[in-house]
Order: sequence, then C-alpha cells, then structure tokens
Amino acid sequence: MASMAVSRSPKKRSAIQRFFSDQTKWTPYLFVAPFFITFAIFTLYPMLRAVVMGFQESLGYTGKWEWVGLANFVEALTNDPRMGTSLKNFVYFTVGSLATQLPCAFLIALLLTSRSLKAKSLWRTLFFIPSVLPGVTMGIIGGWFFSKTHGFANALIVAFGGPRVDWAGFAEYIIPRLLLIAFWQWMGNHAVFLIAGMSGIGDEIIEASIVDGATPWQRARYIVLPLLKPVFAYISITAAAGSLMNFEVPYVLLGTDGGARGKGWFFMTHIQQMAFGQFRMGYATAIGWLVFFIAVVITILQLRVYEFRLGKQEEAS
Amino acid sequence: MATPALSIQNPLSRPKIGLFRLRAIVTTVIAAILALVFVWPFLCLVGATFNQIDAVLNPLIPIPAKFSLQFYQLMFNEKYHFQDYILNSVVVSVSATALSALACALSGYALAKLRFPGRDLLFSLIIGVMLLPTATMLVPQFVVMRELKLVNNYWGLILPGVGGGAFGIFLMRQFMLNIPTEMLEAARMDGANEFELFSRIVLPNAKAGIGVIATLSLRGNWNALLWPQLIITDPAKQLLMPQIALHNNLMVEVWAIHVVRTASLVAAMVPLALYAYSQRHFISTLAGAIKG
Repeated sequence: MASMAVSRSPKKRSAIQRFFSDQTKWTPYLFVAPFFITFAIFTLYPMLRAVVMGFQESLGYTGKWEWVGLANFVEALTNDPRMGTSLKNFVYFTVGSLATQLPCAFLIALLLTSRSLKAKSLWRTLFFIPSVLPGVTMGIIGGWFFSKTHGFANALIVAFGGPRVDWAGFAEYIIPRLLLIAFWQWMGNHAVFLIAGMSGIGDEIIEASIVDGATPWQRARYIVLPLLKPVFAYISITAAAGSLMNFEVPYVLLGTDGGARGKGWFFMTHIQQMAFGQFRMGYATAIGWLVFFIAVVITILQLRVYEFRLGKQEEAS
Repeated sequence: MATPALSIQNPLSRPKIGLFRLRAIVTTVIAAILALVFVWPFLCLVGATFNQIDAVLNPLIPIPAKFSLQFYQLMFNEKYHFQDYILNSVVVSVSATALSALACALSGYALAKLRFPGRDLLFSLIIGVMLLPTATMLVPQFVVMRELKLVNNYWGLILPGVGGGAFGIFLMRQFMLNIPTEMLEAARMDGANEFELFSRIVLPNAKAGIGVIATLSLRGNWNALLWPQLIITDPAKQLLMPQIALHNNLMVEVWAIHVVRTASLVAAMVPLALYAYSQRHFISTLAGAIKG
C-alpha cells in the first residue's frame, strides 16, 4: 500500500509515511481492527447475503439457490402453523416467566436484604446458582424432573396420593413445564438484580419512612417497589429478548419434532429445524428476518427505557 | 416482612437484644428453608447419578439407594467416551476465550485510553453492533462458513469470536477507563513503545477486567449448543454439549438416560467452578452493568 502511494505523489507519501512512522497514530486502529474484521466477515457479510437469501430457496444441501420472490415471507406469515405456534409460545412464555418470576424475585430480594438475616451471601448464592448452569443441563434436568416413571414431579404427586401424569404426552403441559424450569433457573438471578437495585436506594429515604412510622410491608410496597421500576423494566425486556432466542431448553426437552402435537415450537427451534432438518435454508433465513424485526422492536423499547441511564454514563466517563 | 407481628412497634426504638435475636433466627430459618426447597430437586438428581443401576431409588430423596460410581464410569467407556468430547470442548473454548479476551483488552484499551480520529464513531458502531440481534442470522452465517470451508473445522468455532465481541469490548472499555492516564504517559516518556505499554502496563493493571471477560466468554463457549452442533458434523470432532443433546435423543441403551444426566452434571461443573472462582466479580459486574 505504501509503495503504491510512493509512485502517486510525494506529498501523499509523506503523509502516509508520517502516519506509519508515528506509532501512536496507527496502533489504535490496529488494536480495534480484529473486531471490525471479524464482524465484517462473520456477521455483516452474512447479513447482506441474507437479504438475497430470504427471497431464495436452497436446492437441498447442494449449495445451489433458486429465486422464489416473496414466497418465503408469504408462506411464513400466512401458511405456516408453526409460526403461529412460535409466536404464541413466545408471548405465553415471556408473560408467564415474568408473572411467576418477578413477584417471587421481589419477595426473595426483600427477605435476603432483611437487616436481621444471617449468612446473606450463602442464601443469595444458592438462589443465583441455577442461572449459571448450561442450557443443555437445564433441559436434561427438566426432562428428569418431569419424567413419567422416575421423575421428581410424579414422585411428589404419587406421594400425595395422586396419579402419575404423562407430562410429555400432552400439548397443554409444554409451556408450564418450560415455565417451571425457567422459574428455577432465572428467579434467583432476577432477585440478585433487584438486590443490586435496592442497594442503590438511599438510606435517608428508608430512615425517613421509618420515622414516619411506615411498616416494613408499607415500605416495601410504596417506597422500594416504585423505586425499582427501572430494574423491573430492565429485567422484563432482557427476559423478552431472551425468550425470543429460546433454543436450548425446548430443543433438549422437546426433541426435534416440536413436542406433543407439535405445539412446542419456538422461533429458534423452528429456524433450526427448517434449515438443518428440512434443508430449507432460504425459508429459514426469511423467518430469521421476521424474528430479527421483532428483536429490533424489543431493542428499541430497551433503549427508550435506558436512555436516561446511557446519558448518565457518558457524563461519568 | 417475614415477622409482621413483631415489626408493628417503632423500629427506631432500639429493639431489645432478645427480640432482635428472635427476628434474626426467624428470618434466617425462613431463608434456609426456602433455599433448601429451591435446591432440593437438584440435589436429588445429583444423588440419582450416584445410584447403582439396578437399585430402586426414591426420586424425592437426594441419597442413592446403593452408592455406586457406575454412571460416572459408563460415561467414559467405549460406547460414550465422553472424555473425548470434554477434551474437544476444552481445546475450543480455551483457545476461543484466550483470543477473544486479548482482542477485547486491545480494543477496550484503545477506545478508553488512546486518542485517535474516529474513535467515538468506532465506539458508537460497537454499541450499535451490541444492540443488533445477530443471533437470528444463524442460517446465512452457516452458509458463509460452509463457503469459507470452515464447516467441520474448529476454526469455524474460534474465528468468529477472535474479534472479542461487542459486549466484551464495551465492558473492557469500562474497566480500562480506571487505568490512570499519567501512568501511561510516564511510560511513554521513558521510551516504551505502544506494544510494550500494552503488555507491561495495561495488561497487568487490567487483570480483574480480563478475568471477568474471560470468565463470561469461557462460559459462553463451553455452554454453546446450537453453533457447534451446526459447524461440527464429524462425530469424532464433536463438542460436549451437542454430544449430550445427541445422546439424549439417541438412547443407545436402557440406562443411557442416566449416563446422559450424569454427563450433563459433569458438563455443568465448568460453569459452576468458574462461578465459584469469580463469584464476587460475577455479581458485581452484572449488577454494575445494569446500574450503569
């Protein structure tokens, strides 16, 4: 590159030479280069290719493509029951996760920040630990827990005199099973975030409420809860984004056929199965775009909620 | 909250020692019971993996009916040979983590401490990439990897991460901001070049940050299922997580399910150990990331 510049003009040469002779000038670009190079090759280029691939269909696994126009998108939006199932499951799973996990996380956070509690970090660790487990392990644990013959759930039901339930056999059990697994994995994680948010509430506010004679319950309900709104918002949006990408637990728990009566599809398991089970890469790419736009909407919501926080951070740095 | 009957009186008047101790006992016992209920099923599963194959087990009790290491031995026999997949996973996730942590440190340092034209633009681009839902681009990414002949090749798992990832760079920049600029200036005065500066001053001072990034990256690489499952098609080269998922569907013999469960717990040891190792960093970093 430098030699090309030499032949062109002496003025330019000196500029480039000056640039490369002063190490402090070019090293910063060298330091940030790996990210931008790998991003260009492994993310940006595939995304540009995806623009075309959404309008194509792959001919099996051959690597050849055929132009199909809007057919993929039309099929995904009007003629694919799995898409409807995925959307329904995404909403059901997200709302269900938040409705079950957040109230419990809040109560656990209150309990674990109680001034009289001993060994706080031990209890916090025990509730937090499931969230570091791999998705595959969570799926296997869920499969054991809901096993018909030797699972924990049925053993418990039988111990109380009930009949064994065929958890895997019925579509209506799919989301409840996933919700219970998600509850176990994420509730403690949310509680830890709420505890972090609580530590940001000034002592003077709490003291003032004590002076005013607020009971601990009133304090939790009317002071702590409203002040934690941003943390709740953060958790909710992260959870929505996470459940949009839900793959590992449903894949391991439900297998490759979408669970009982095919009612267990999520967007990512559907994409994976279309692309690598049925080798419909073009169609899977089109679905990928639709999910991409849902994710963008969630991200925009996230930015709205966090605008003021990002602003603060820039000031600080 | 746990003891409403006791808390009616004004909490500012110093509670009598006996009363305070009673409250401490009650709240601690409640926390202990809840935590025990919470981890109980997990303990039962751990207990079940130590059971003897033919011994009848009560799934509600975390103690094996007859203690045995059979399932842990079966995991490593010629039918399953999970040790190969553990080794493959270690090779891939350690190399991917080392390269990506280095890249994060380099770019985080450049963005936090070096002045150069376009820096703010590049940083904004990285933030933008961080917000981009790229996980949905799985299929085109796979197609490109296939064209680059990186399918069935560990480089296909390692290379996409060698740039460090937008979130890692973002976190690293936050850590790097804490390095005193005077220290860097002083080293420059003493004639250190930019590379010496990075390796002798920046790296030693950013150990904690690099530790956090490396922990997160190692956990992510180790836990990954979808991408390695697509990229690696040769069974001998497969990684641990996809192999566990595969055996979960295959069920090569009657007790395969028990071996799969055992393997999935062994696989979980890595993230658990990482968590134990960096517990304080983990929670404070994650909490710090949301508090901003």
